[in-house]
Amino acid sequence: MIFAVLALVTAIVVAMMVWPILRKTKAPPTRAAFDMEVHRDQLEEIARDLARGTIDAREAQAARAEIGRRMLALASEPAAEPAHTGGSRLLAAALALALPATAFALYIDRGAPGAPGVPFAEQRAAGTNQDPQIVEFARTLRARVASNPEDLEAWVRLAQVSAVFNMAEDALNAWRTADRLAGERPELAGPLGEAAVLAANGQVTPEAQRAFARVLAADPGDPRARYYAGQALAQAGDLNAAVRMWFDLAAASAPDAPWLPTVREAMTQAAREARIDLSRLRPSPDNRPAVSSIAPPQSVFAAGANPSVPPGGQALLALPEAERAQAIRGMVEGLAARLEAQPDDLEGWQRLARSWQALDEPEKALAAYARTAEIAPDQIQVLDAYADALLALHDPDTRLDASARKAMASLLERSPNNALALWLVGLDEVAAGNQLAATALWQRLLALLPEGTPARAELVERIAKLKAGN
Amino acid sequence: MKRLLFLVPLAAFLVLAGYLGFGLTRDPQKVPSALIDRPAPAFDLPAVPGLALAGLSNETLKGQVSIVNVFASWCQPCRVEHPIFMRLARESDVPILGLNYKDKAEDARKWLGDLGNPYRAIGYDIEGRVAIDWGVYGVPETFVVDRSGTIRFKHVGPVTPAVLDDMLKLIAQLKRAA
Repeated sequence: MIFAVLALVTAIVVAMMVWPILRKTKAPPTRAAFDMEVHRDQLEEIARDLARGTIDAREAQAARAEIGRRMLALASEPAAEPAHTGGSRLLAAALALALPATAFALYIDRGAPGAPGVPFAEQRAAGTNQDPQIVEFARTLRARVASNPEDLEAWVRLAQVSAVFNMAEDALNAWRTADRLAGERPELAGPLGEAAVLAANGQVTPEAQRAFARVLAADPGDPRARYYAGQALAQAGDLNAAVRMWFDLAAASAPDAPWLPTVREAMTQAAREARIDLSRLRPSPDNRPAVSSIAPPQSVFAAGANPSVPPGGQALLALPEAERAQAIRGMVEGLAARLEAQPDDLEGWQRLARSWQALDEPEKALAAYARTAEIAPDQIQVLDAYADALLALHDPDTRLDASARKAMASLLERSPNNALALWLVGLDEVAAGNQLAATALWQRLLALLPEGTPARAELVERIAKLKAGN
Repeated sequence: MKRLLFLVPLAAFLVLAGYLGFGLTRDPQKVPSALIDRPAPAFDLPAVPGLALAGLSNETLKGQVSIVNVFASWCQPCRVEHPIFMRLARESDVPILGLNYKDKAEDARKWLGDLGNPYRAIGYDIEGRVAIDWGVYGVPETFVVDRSGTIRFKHVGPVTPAVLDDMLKLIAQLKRAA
């Protein structure tokens, strides 16, 4: 359909370009013809003047002779060369061919003829979670808070579900209500602040700042509140204080803390803008470990039925511990069996990999991660997740298998400063006995780690050991 | 001779391209303002309806070195620079005066409620007439006005920490000069 329309449009454009070229142009009147016309008029005028008697016959005769001479002179001038049309016919043909051909070639190169159409309704749905169970769950929650506006648990759940649906305003309002109902507890202040930031497109609003200040008053170590407090400082233009805040947070975080890349990126950017030399910074003497003692928001209501689990899951929760584990394992095995038939389902394999990891099945998890890397060998995020899993699951004293080595090499090629990949490939080289290669990789890694972090200290020690062994 | 006529559009294009290309190398935030070192235009703006804050006029400017910030709730870059003014209001005694440009009163009130209010006074310029007199052609814009009511500095676009530093240096100078 769309291609028929495009072909039609192309045809119209070609026609519009070719038409004026092919059209037989009426030759413009030549100068000579025009002059001849003027002289003919003059002759008639002389005849009229003679008839009226304004001039006599002799004068008329002389004038006629003069005009006649001029007309003769005109007639003997060489005729204007005829307009040539041969070249333009060739040009028209070339245009008619070249335009569609170029358009088609460009489309083949840049376009995606195989891509499915994305109607507007689907675009909207893509941003949200389409799981019908969750949609149903959200509807139940809205009914619950409508009938009982004091239902703290329903408000907290609604806030969490709204966040899943990317409805930042709704999530913020739900957190506000829940926070008020719970009597402004620090357990809710963190998520409230984060929701306020999301609703304001990343701006740490005064409301969010107050919320995070409450969290930090209850637990000065809380990493989320520290990160956003730094963000507030940076947005207010106090880059020095922001960098200091983030530097302490990064230094106090475990090397595999999920927030670490975000914190580092924010810190590096602010430091660059404020021309702060990060390598000269040292962690504050009173720096706190980046761990939070604040309980999750669910803890503010008495643990009863757990409505955050969709209906099917409700039954799961009712099972005794051992049976539940068995049932979950059964589900994951079902997923694994289904994926055998769908070796290219990236999302499915990612889910399977995470599930095996959660079930503490390192070998199966790594095999599933290896599959994701084979499906998408050039997606940094996929390779990153694989690297994460290798760090957690792989025995560091043994070599990586061929597929993991290939994936990490690909990751390093695409992001040469990927700390995880540098570390893992370095370990692999050590296991293979290539101390020199390992040292080179780890030197690169060393340059990426901020001074004074535990990870850096360990790396320095490892490199020293490698050099001593040589 | 006739052939040469066909080259006229090409020549015109080249001249235009050269002119525009030169324009690209210039910093649009450094537009020379006719108002620098001239007295602020005469104006008297009411307060934002429903907001317990004074309006803005030449009288407000007299006798103090102040910052005049043109803002609107619909202006995204204004959100970016807003925390900087919040901090300035907290940490220094330089009065920040607002000029609310072509904004609905309720939107402006909600905006100040959500993001905080750093302004000592806000003039409500719903038609944008006063802003035109001030030579404003895009929000946000920020001016530094000295004690006599003379405009000393103008910045187009969101104020960054570096611009703020420049402004604060100038303000300190102006204060000493009086």
